[in-house]
Amino acid sequence: MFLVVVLLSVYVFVGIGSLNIFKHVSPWHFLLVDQWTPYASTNPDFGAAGIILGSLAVVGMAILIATPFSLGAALFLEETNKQLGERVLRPVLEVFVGIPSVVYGWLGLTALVPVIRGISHEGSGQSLLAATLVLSIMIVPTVTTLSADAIRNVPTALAEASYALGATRWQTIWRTILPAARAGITTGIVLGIARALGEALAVAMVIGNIPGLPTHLFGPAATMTTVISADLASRALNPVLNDALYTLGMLLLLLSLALILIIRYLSRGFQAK
Amino acid sequence: MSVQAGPARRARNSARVVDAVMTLAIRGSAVFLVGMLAFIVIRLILAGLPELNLHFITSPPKALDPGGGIGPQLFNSVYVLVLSLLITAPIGLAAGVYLAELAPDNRFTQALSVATETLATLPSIVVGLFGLLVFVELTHWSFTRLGGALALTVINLPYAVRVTEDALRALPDSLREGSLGVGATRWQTIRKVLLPAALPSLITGLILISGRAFGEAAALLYTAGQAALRAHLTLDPFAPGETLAVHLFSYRQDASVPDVNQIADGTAAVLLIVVLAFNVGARFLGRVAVRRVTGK
Repeated sequence: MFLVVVLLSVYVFVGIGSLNIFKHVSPWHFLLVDQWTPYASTNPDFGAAGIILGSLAVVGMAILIATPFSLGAALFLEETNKQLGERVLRPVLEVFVGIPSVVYGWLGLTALVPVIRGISHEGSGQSLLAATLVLSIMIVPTVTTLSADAIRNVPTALAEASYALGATRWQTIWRTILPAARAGITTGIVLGIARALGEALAVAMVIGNIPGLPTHLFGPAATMTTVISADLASRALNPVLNDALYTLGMLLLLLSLALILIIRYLSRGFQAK
Repeated sequence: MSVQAGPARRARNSARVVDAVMTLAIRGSAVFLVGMLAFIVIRLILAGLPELNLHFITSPPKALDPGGGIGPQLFNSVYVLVLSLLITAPIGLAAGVYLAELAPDNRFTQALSVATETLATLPSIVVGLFGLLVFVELTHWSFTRLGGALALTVINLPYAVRVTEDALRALPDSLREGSLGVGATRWQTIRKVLLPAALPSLITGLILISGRAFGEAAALLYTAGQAALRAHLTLDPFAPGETLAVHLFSYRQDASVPDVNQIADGTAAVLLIVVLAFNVGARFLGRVAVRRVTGK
C-alpha cells in the first residue's frame, strides 16, 4: 500500500508542478518550438523541442552503440564461453552497474572529452558524442544481463535440432536462438533506453548543457535531465523556469511509464506463445 | 560423397567463414568490455592515488585554499545511507514478505507489482524534483539529511521489495510444508523458518542496494543539498548534508580552490573503492552463505 502511495504521490506532485508553465506558453509551443531563453529579461521563451530532441538523440545513438556489444557479451556468456563468462564477464558487468554515475561523468570529462577535443579541434570537447559514449557504457550491463537471461531460456532442443541439420554455431545463433529470444532481448533494449533516458549527472558532466537542436556530434547539446539538474538551482530567482523544469520532469515520467508498458506488453506476448 | 557439387561446398565454406568471424566478434566484445573496466578502474585509482591519505578523507573542504579534504562528505554519505536503510529495510521486508507469502494472486497484488516495477525505473532526477517539493518545501525543512534519506528511500524501496520477494520465492516449498506440518502458524513459519533461511540472500541484497545508494547523487542534489562548506560532523538529521557523490558533481562548479581537479580525482577514487568493497563484500557473503547451506 505504502509503495502505491509513494508512486502515486510522485506522479501527483510532479504532475501538478508541471502544469504551471502552460499559463505562459502553450503545450504545443513547449513541445515543438526550439526557443529556450529562460533568462532573457524581456519575454523569456520556453520552447523545449531542442532539449527533448537532445535527449532522444543521445539515447537513440547510445542504444545503437550498446546493443551490438551487449548481444556479443550475452552470447559470450551463454553460448561461446560459458565458464569463462561466469567467472570473469559476469562479475565485470556487476562492477559496471555498481560504478556511480558521477564517477562515469568525471571519467568521461577527464579521459574522453580531451580526446574528442583533440579530434574535433573545436570547443571544449563536451559534446553530444561524449554523452553518447558515456551512456553506451552505462547501459551495456542492463541490456547484456537481460539478453543473456533470454538466450538461456531458449530450449536447448531448438539449438540441438539446428546443429543436427548441420548448421554452424553462428547459423544456429542467428536463425534459431536470437529469434527465439527476441522478446527478452527487446525487453533488455527497452530497459536500457529507460535507464539512458533517466540518467542525469553523468550526461550533465560531459554534454556541455547548451540547449538547442542537436545538429553536430562534436558540439554541445542538452537533455531533459541535464537542464533539470543544472537549472533547478535557480528556482527561487526564476519561478517560471522552475515550472518549465517540472514539466520536463513530468515528460520524463510519462516517457518511462510508456517504456514500462511496452515491456509488460512484450512479456505478456512472450508468455502467450 | 567424394564429388560434391560446387555451389553447395562454396555455401558451406562461406558459412564456416562467417561462423569464425562472428565468433571472433562475440569474443571481441567480451574482451572489449573487460578491458574497458580494467581501464576505468586503473585510471581512476591511479589519478586518485596521490590524494588518498588520512588527511584527505578526514578533513573538511576549503573555500579558497588548496589542501581541503572530504571528511564531512564521507560522513554524510554514510549517515544518509544508514538513515535511509533504517526506513527502507522494514518497509521493504514487510512488503516483500507480503507479496511472496501472504498475498493472494489478484488484481490488487498485480497492481502492486506493477507499481514496484514502475517505481524502480523512475529517473532519479525526477525523484529529486519530487523530494524538493515534498521533503524540502512542503515540510519547510529546507535541505536536510533526512530529506535526502527519504529521497533515497523512494529509490531503494522497490529494490528492497524485489530482493525480499525473490529471496523468499527461491526457498523450497518443503521448508514451508515441514514447518506448517509440525503445527506452526503461518507467522511462526515466516519468522522462525523462512526469514532465517533467506537471511544470506537478504544481506547480499542489502549490500548491493547500499552500494547503489552510496553513489546516488541526482536525487540528493536538491534534497540533502550541495553546500560543501556547510557540511559538519553532527548527528542532526535536519542539518544539510552534502554527500560524496554530490560533492564530485557540484564542488567543481562552485569552488574556487586551485586543486579542485585533484580533489575530484581523489573523491572519484574513494567512491570507486567503496563501491568495489560493497560489491566484493556482497559476493563474498553470498559464497559463504551458499557454502553454509550446501554444507560444502
